Amino acid sequence: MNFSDIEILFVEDSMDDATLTIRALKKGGLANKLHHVKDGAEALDFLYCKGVYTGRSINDHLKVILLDLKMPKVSGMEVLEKVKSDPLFKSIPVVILTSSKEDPDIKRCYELGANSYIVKPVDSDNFFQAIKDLSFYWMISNQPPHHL
Amino acid sequence: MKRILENFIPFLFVMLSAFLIAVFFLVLSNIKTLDETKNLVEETYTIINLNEDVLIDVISIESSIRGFLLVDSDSFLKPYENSIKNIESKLLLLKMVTEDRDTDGKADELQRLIILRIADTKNSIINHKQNNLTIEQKIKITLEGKKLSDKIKNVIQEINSRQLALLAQRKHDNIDSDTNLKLIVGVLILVILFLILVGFAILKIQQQKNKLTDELKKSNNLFSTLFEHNPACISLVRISDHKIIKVNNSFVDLLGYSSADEIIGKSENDLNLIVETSDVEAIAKLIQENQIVKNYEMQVRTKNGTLIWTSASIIMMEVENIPCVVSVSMDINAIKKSEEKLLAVNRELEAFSYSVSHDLRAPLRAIGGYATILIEDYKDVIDADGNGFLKSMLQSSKTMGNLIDDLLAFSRLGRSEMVVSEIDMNSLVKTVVFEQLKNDAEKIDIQILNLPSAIGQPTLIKQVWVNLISNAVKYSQHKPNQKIEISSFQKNGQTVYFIKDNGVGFDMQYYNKLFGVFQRLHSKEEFEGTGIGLAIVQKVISRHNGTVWAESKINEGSTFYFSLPKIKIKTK
Repeated sequence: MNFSDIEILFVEDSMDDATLTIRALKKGGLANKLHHVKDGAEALDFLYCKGVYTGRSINDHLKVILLDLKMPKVSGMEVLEKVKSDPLFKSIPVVILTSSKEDPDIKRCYELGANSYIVKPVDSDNFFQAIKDLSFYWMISNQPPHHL
Repeated sequence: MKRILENFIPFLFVMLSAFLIAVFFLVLSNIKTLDETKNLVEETYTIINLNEDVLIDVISIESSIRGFLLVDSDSFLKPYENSIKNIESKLLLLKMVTEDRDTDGKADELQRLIILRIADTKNSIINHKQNNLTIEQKIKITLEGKKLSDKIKNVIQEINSRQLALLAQRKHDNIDSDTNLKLIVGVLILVILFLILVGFAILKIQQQKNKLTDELKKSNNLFSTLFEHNPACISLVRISDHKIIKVNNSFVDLLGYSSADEIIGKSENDLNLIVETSDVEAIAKLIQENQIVKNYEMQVRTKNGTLIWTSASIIMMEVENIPCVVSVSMDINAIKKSEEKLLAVNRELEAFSYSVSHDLRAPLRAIGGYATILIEDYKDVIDADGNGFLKSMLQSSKTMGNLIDDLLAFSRLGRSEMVVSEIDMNSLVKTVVFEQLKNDAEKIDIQILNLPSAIGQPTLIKQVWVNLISNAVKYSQHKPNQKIEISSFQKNGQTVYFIKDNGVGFDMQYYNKLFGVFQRLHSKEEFEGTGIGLAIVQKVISRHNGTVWAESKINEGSTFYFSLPKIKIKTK
C-alpha cells in the first residue's frame, strides 16, 4: 500500500462513525487522501512507521490528524500528547472528534496543543457541515514547514 | 474606690491611735490642773481664815492693852495673854501655808509686824507696871500701838486681796481648760462615730469581697466544667517557647493520650502532631491577616500515628498575661470520610454522565446517520411510507440527542461551582430577548420594566431568562396579539422578577408537575420541548437561595415569578 499520498490520518474506533465520516469526506472529494486507523496504537504505528507501516516513510508528511478521544489500547489523548511533544509531528494540525461540547477532555486537549475540535453530531446535516468546515480549515491551514 | 479605702485603713489606725494618746494626756493634764485649782481654793480660804483669826487676835491685844492702861487693872490682860498664845500657833500655821505661795513678801512683813506689836505691848505693860506712866505717855503708847495695828490690818488686807485675785485668775484659767476638755470629748465622740462608720464600711466591703470571691469560685468552676467537658478539643500554646500549657479532656482523648500530663510542657513538634507543615504556615499567615482562623481543616497525628481530620478555629490572646495561641478543634474525621465517599460517588456519577453522553450518542449517531444516507441515496428504491418512517426515525434520534444534552446540563447544574457577581438584569434580559426573538421581535408586544441588579452566577441566571422567555414566546405563539411583560417588585427583602404572557397557560391542578424533570403539560405535537426548561429554572434559583413559582389560567396566560436575595450595596 502506498502511503505517500496520505494527507489525512483519521483515528476512529467506531465503524459507524468511521463509515459516516468517510462518506462525508468522499462527498467533499477528500477520501482518497485519507487513511483510517482503528485505535491509538495503530495511529502511533502509522506515525512512527512501525508494524504494518514499516514501509512508510516518516518524511511523508500529513496535513491533518482527525482524532477520536475514546478508544481502546491507546486513547486519543495519549496520541495527542505524543504528537504534540515530538518535534517531528508537533506542527501537524490535530482536530479532536468528540461526542459532546461539554466534554471536560476538550479543555485538556487544548492544553496539550490540539488545534480544533468537532462535535460528532447525531444530526447528519450538521455533521457533514462540520466536516466541510474542517476541509475548509484544512485548506487554509498553514503548510507544514518542510513544504516551504 | 474600695482599694483606696482598704489602703487607707492602716493609716487611719495609726492616726487614730496617735489622736487617742494625745487625748489621754490632755485629759490627764486637765484633771491635774483641776486638782491643783481645788487645792489652791482650799489654801486661799485657809489663808484668809487664818488672817482673820490673826486680825481678831491683834484687835484683842490692842483692846486689852488699852483697857489695861486706862483702868490699871490686870484683869484686862487676860484676853491679851490668850491672844498671844493663839497668835503664835496661827502665825506658825500661816507661815507653813504661805511658804510656797506668792505673797509678794507680805507674809514675812505680817510676821515681823505682829512680833513687833507683841514686843511693843509687852514693853508697854512692863513699863507701866514699873514707872506708872503719865496720861500723856499712855496716849502716846496707845496711838503708836494703833498705828502698828492699822499697818497689820493693811498687810492682812493686801495678802487677802492678792490671794483672792490669784484665785480668780486661776478660776478663769480653769474655765478655758474646761472648754478644751469639752471640745476634746466632743471630738472624741465624733471620732468614735467615724470609727464605727469606717468599721461598718469595712465590714460591707469584706462581705462584698466574700461575695465576689464566691462568684469568682462559681465562675471558675463553671469555666473548668465547660473547658474540661467541652466536646471540642481545646489547647493553649505559649507563643514564647511553643509549649502546650493547657489542654482539655477532649484534646487528650482525640490524640489518644492517657492524660494531659503527657502533653503539657511539650511542643506540637515534640508530640509529632503536625502532619503538613504547610498547614502551620497557612494558619500563621491567616492569623497575621485576620487575627483569627475559623474552621481550618487539617490533619493531625495521634499518639499511635493515626491521622485524624480536624476543623480548627485559632486565635491569639493573652491568658493570665501570657501570649498564647488558643485552638479549638472539632473531630471531623467522620464528616471527612463521608465527604470523601460523596466525592467518590460524585466522581463516579460524573464518569457515568460522560459515559452516557458518549456511549448513548454513538448508536444514535449511527441511527441518524444511516437514516440520512437512506433518505439521500436510496429514496428511489424505498416507497413513500418507508421514506416517512425514515424521517420519523431521524427525528426521534434528534429528540433523544436533545434529551441527553438536557439531562447532562441539568445534572451538571447541581455540581458545578458557583462564581457569583453582580448582574445587570436590565441589560441581561434585553440581550436574551434579542437573542430569543430574532425574527419574531416585530410581531410580539414585549415590555421590559425596571429590573434591579442581582447577585448570582451570570451564566446560570441567563439560562433562567432564556428558558422563561423562550417558554413565554413558545406558549403564546398561536395568539394573534402576542404580549409579554417582564418586571419586578420587592417582597420580604428579596427582589421578585416575573414574566407574564398571554399564551395558552396551563391547568393549575397539574402545578406540582410543572417544575419536574421531563414533565410536560402539553403534548409534543402542540409545543415542542423536552420538559427540562423549568426544572433547570427551579434548580438554578434554589441554588441562589431564591424561590420560583407560577400562576396561570388556561387560555389567558401564565406568570412565572422568581425571587433572588437583594443585592448588598458595598460601601468603601
